[in-house]
Amino acid sequence: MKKIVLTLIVALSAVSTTNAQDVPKSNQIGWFITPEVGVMFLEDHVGNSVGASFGMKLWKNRLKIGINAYGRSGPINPKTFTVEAYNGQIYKGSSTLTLRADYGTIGLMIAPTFKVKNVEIDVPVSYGMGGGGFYLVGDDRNTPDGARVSEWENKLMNGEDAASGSWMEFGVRGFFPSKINGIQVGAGVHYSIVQGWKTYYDPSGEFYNNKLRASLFVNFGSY
Amino acid sequence: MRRIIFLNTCGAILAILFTQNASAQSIIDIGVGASNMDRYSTNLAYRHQINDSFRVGFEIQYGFPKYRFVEAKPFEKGYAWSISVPLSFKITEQERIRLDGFVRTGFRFQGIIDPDNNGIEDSLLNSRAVLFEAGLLVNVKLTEKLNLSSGVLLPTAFEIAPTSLFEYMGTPNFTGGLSYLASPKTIVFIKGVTGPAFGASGDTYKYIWSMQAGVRFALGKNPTTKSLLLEPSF
Repeated sequence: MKKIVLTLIVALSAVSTTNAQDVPKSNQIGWFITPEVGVMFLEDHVGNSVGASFGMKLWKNRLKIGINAYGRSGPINPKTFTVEAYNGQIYKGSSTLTLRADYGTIGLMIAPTFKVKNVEIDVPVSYGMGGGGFYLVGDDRNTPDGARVSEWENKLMNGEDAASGSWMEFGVRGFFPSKINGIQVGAGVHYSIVQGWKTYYDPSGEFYNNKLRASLFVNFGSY
Repeated sequence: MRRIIFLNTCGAILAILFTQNASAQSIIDIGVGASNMDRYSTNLAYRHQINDSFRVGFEIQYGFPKYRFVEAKPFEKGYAWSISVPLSFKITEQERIRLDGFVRTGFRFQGIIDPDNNGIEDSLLNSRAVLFEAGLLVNVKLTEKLNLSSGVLLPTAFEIAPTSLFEYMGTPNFTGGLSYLASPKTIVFIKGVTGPAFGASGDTYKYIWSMQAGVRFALGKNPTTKSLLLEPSF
């Protein structure tokens, strides 16, 4: 029993003091983290988005696989939308609702990557889910009866205040080197397809479907 | 007999983890900040760099709310404090750039002052939540004294009292910060977190941000380069 305990201590000691070796320059599996800000060219306005992609780089950095996610959040998009409440319901003296839009996506991303001189180009293809809806803003979020505001949003928009659908996005991004290895800055353009997302305000489901998006980012990663 | 062996083993492991490596370093962070949740907040953290790869800590944060939730309903006046245990572990390092994994678990306690809005500030509604955060952190040594940090986070909060509900999750959030070795044992830092959020059927934050600035003190030996590594705080 004593031998087992001593062996365990020695083994744990070895594990806890092992330092990760520096990754060789010709690393087979690398990593990337790419925080970004973006704009979405929607029907009658430009929406602001914040997001990030992160994951692994394979085949000597020729292929990225990871997660891509971004949000066109209501609080960073002041544009409002008006719609008549379902069945003419009255909310705080009016049947006209003033709403903001909130939306987000998350999905798997695959991006073949190549270099043109010292500029890295990748072609991200993402597939996953897009979800969001429209919500009451400002003082309208203080409900007259103290109920949760989502209960009122469901009633006023016939339960269709929010939805989710499938999301696919194609793009091209350019990564420009900085003075520090492992940090690049860049920009990209993307084309989004959202299917099956229908809400009370947008029964056609075209609010985010077939839309262009542009992004600016800083990329951290292995090299 | 078995209990004695078990306790001795645990003690030996802890002794090995905390004493064996020359890069072991203890640090204390004191920070003040603001966020979309709090008008201002204070943060006190103890962090122990166990070795080159592992850092564990303990944080206490107290905030003065401006927009927080209890039972998915917002309140503006009250208190909010949290205790948490952050853990970071090195994944890889290449010259000046280092990638760490990050996990934090904790508890949050909130109370509303004057919850029935009758002007009498003597009623408090207690709310408790479990906090969990996971992410990837990047630290870049810009110079010998200046460090840049960034990363992606998935912060989540689950209210467990007075009701059980999934309060929010950042989807994802990204973090950024700078730390500077101001003197042999003192580091100044500024850091922030921002990004979209969702939860509670929409009765929660749709976007979250926080900023914190502070001072880090290295205990014992002079700071190692590991002392410049930043973890995010809300």
